[in-house]
Amino acid sequence: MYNVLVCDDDKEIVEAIEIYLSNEGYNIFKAYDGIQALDILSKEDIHLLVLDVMMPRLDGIRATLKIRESNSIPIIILSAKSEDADKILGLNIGADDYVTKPFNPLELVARVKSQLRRYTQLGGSPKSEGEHIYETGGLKINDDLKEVTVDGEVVRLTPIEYNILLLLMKNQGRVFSINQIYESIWNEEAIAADNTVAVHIRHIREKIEINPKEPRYLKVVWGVGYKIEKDTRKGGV
Amino acid sequence: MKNKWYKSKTAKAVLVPVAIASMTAALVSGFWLLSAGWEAEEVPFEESEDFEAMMENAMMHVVSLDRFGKLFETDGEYDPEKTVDIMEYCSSGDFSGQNEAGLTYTLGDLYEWGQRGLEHKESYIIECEKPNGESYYYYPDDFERLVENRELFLDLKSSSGAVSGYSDEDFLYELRNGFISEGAGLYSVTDIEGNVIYTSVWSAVNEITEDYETADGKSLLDAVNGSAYLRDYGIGRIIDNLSHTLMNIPARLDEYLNGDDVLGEGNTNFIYIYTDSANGEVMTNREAYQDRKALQDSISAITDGDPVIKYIIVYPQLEDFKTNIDNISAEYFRNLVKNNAGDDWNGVFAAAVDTSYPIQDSFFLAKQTYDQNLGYMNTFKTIVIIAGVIAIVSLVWLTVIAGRRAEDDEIHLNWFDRWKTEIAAAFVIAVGVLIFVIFGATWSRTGVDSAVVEASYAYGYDDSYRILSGMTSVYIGTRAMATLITAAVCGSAFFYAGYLSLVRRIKAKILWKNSLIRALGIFIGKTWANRSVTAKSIGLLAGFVVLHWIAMVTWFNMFWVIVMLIADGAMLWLVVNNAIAKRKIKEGIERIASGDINYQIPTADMRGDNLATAEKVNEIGNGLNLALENVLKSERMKADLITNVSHDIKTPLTSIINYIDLLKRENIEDEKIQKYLKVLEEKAQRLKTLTEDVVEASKASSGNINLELMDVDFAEMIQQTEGEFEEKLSARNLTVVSKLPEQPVIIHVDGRRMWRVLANLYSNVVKYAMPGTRVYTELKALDGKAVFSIKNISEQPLNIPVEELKERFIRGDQARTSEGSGLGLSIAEDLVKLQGGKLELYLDGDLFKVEVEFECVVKNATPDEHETRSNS
Repeated sequence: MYNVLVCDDDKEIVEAIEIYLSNEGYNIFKAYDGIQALDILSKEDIHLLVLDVMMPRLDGIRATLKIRESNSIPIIILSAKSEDADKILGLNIGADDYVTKPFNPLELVARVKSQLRRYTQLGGSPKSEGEHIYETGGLKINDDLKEVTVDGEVVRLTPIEYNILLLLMKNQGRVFSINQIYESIWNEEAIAADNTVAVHIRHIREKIEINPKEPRYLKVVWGVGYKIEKDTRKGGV
Repeated sequence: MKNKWYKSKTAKAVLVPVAIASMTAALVSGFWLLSAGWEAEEVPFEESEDFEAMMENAMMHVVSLDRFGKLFETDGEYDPEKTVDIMEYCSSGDFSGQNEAGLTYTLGDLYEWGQRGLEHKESYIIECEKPNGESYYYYPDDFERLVENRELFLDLKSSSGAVSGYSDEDFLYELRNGFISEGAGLYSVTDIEGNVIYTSVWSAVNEITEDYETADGKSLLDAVNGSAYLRDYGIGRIIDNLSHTLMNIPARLDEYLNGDDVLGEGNTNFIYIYTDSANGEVMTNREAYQDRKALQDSISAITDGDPVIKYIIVYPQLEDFKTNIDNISAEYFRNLVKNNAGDDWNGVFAAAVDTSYPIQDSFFLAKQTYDQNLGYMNTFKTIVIIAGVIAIVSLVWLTVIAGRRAEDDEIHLNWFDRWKTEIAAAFVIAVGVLIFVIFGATWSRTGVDSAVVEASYAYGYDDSYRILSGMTSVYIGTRAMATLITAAVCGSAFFYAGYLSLVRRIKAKILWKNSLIRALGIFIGKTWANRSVTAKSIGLLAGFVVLHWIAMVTWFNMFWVIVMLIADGAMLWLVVNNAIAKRKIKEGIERIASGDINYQIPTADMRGDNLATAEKVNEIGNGLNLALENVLKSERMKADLITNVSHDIKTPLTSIINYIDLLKRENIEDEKIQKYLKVLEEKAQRLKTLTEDVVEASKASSGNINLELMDVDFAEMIQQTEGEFEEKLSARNLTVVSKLPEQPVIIHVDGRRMWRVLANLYSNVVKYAMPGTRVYTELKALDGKAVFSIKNISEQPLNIPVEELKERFIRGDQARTSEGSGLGLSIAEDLVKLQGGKLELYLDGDLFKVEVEFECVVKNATPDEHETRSNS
């Protein structure tokens, strides 16, 4: 039983989130501004915080800064501000995820789950062992078992998808062009290169990403290729 | 302050009078030295050149008197009845008393006539030519009487010719008044029988008033007509000779008759003994030396007498020459006497001056003046040097401090300095001239005492006496000195006023700035500038043409040719400059018109109308720039507003979407409600898309986007995009036929924005393409340009113009409730433009085509990118 604090000055939104998360079995605390949120955080044992940005008295950004002074619980920012600059600001000051309004309730739930899993499992559990394990953030690929997990949950991939992901995971941060991927996986000259690779990549994204349009792990570098983002934040390999 | 004493008021108060005084002193003494002969030697009067000159003049006078005596005397007495042969006198300067040529007058008549002067009449003496070529003269009255009395007949050319009414009277009138020249007017003059007497008649020379008849009682013409020699000589030259004689004889005679007043005993300190031959008669002005036989004794009396007697004794032989005056040239005096008395002179000429000057004659006066001037000379020489130095020093000093004051370093001008330069100059010059005129007038009344000069004339012979220097001839009295000093003071005061003002003007740099010419030039320039362009051009051209005409009319006179060449040069300069300015303005307008609104036309070398035009064009550029900035600013404000509004919309939208979702989970059986919920959900999603697209569209159109430009492979990007859209396209049963080049096509863009462009284009295809058709995509790299085209068959008829399709909120499908916002193409186009590319739409029936064009980045591709791609 996890305690989730939802903070938004719009009561209806808070209640809607409460309904979704309660259905998933979380215990919900509600706050309507930053001060209240800090207050509840200090009194209760909260495991995750969903926080709006634009709020009276104390806004989400300043609240996050305050919380991060003493607490490392996952914080998901929920904001109507959808600019890149807003997202970068939120993530830079210590938020773990950034969801823009209007949001898909199921996506929010998935992200809450993901954050909680990572928070609870990574926190105590020792790092996975074995020579052929590659991971970044919540994405882990175990080449010995040919197993891919996202936040601990097993994801099923086709062999080609698996090979593509493995190639990218082995070379985290490096950008592979479609032709390079094709030549590595199919082991032949990319004479008939088409959008096969692009389609596979899209399928992989749909399986490992919560929102494939805004991937966290498998990023598209437009006009250059694809890469797995190197996790620099939470001690990836 | 301490070191500025030299330009203090006190310094000036002292300097100015000193400067004026010193200049006055220098001027006065300089003037004196110049007029008195500054080069004169400091010797006693008796040894001076002037003394020698006076001796010489007196001696020559004696010789002249001797000559005149021979001319005018008969048997040693003046003879007024003595006849003068005019022709002889004029050819030899002498007359024998005989009538050689036929025209003689008595000496007395000539003297009186000469003093009255020869008068010329209006009427003309008439000259006639006989058939044998001889001349004959008539007084006009006589000739007219002969014609009147029908003794002579005129055969006029015009009486039978063209000019009717031209009578004898007319001819005679013209003849009398000098209009008829030789051979003109008539064929001949005949007698009553028709015999030709004269072949020609004409006006010869003006008649003279004949107050006296010739010595033998004839009129002038009778005398001339009576002598073949005279007739042949010509009446004109005869009258000239008469005139010459009348001017000379009376003057000589005067000298002769009054000789004693000047050279007579008791009237002069000059003593002379003169004989023209060894045994000739003795001429002297001393009673004691009259005796011819005691000539040697007389001369000895002079030479051995009192040493105050200064003498020159001249003999034909130089060895006999004697004198007790220094620096006398024996040869000079011997030749002098010989030349004037005649080469055969064989007498003796003893000349002496009693230098104790018992008689107050011209020698006495000259001596007095000379001595006085000699006394002044040294004083004035000293003064001129000292005063000159002081004047120069004070002039320089005043020049340096003019306009300065002790208390500051500024240039101070007075009221006079502010006068216009030319007016001030004219004023100073006018006053200067006035001073000069007043001085001149006063000076001529009070100035040089001219007594000595007159006396020296009296000693002169003919008009070739020796001129005396200022030392003996110039005497400046007290009044003259006062005049001189007054003029010098006024003159130098005004000189300083004008000069120092000039210096101050130059120092203050207003000499030209404050001049009338400059003011006039500016005025003309202003008037010129305010003329209309046509008037200006016509005026300029007219002046130019007139100048050339003048040059031609004056037969290319040097001055006008130079002026013309200068004008040609100026015209060339004007035309070329004008052309350059016009080109600059044109270039500027072109650049501004083509969008380079920051461009400024360089106006450095322009003038007049061109300058004004260029400045206006620059102002237009600035104005456009400002307007554009305002537009951008307002676009940005609009984008900010839209962003803020969208935030406010999103919050309630969140609740709407969430609660619709919650409702859907409530297991509602009612189909109607489920249908309603579906509509709500669709519209809510559409609102969401719209909100996001509006923000993006406003940002894209206002350029309020930070681009992260990098080199990307356009082909790779198209492949990626097609991969992303694979399922959506398949879902609509669309087949993509894509043609990509084998080489990478590198363009410099922001990858994420470019993805947005391509995503909009592909989702357009997904939304509007006819299901089951093919979609053609192609990327070409041509001439350094990458052109991507995407073509599809529209499902709905596109009955709106292409231009409108790109506009915001226009959708190819008006009826359908798709999820599109209608902003896709607009956003795509704006983003392409921002990244430096071009997006074009083409519509041909149902064929819809979009072309995106970018500049390729020239780059050497790496070998492993040399790969082929082909259609799917």
